[in-house]
Amino acid sequence: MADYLKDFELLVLLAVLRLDEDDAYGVPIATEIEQTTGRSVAQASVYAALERLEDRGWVSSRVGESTAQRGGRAKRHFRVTTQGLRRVREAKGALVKMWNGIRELQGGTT
Amino acid sequence: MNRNNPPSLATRLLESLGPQRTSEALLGDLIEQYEGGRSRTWYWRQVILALVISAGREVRTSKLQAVSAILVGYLTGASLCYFTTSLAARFVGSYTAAYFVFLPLAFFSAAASGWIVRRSHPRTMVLVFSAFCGVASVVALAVYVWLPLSDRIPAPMLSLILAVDFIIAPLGVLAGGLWGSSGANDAWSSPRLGAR
Repeated sequence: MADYLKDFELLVLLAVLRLDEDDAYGVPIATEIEQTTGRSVAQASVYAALERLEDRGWVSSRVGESTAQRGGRAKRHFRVTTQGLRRVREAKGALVKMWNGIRELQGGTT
Repeated sequence: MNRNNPPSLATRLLESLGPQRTSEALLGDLIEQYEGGRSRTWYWRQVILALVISAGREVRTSKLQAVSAILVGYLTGASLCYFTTSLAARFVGSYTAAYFVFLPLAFFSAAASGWIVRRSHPRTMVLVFSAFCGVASVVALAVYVWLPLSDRIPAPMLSLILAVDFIIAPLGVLAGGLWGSSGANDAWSSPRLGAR
């Protein structure tokens, strides 16, 4: 499997990092991305990304409680692993390096 | 539950055919949001997207399984349909009677292929269903495009072929897949939410 962190996977990792571990399950993760980026997110695409990240050892998960509000289905809580955190830092570093020195991106917001 | 339950068919589809590892958590999330005020249309859209995403992942991660499932599904369904309808054709004279005999036979042939694929290739059901619809569409398109042939086919027979291709076969495969998944004591019916 490619060791490359895709755009959406990076967003998912950042959303997990922004949430407390107890809150880091599917619904809040999708909501966090939607509110931050303003783009609509399919719940299944969040899980698909989380599965890929878990396969690479960049997030880990545990089964949480099941409630009547969820039709008796358990939540699955995620957290970013040390390895995942390192990947996020590397991605940020690479993006910042690419960002620097581009005249068109300096100064304004457009 | 504070209002009507979410669409049960959609829930059943996702339970039976959805992503193996995450279907329980995903369903819980969808139900939670539905209970929070999301519409039935939203729920159905999320389920369909989940099935499409799951099928795409199946193609990428298990190509051979996917090809094998499509071949087994299509060949089983087409062979059963051909043999049963050929046999029935000896006893059926009119088009009206043909509808009552051929359509159920086509449905049960497709359902049998869906059941077999669900049991033999548990992770590729959505893919087979999509492929079935795709192949049926290509066949129907070919019938339309090949005008000399369609000129020779009487209108009632053409509509029978189209009904089988676009409605009966996909519904049959789906029904067979769901039938095959009920009571199947495997990873699909017992969620593996592998906590690490």
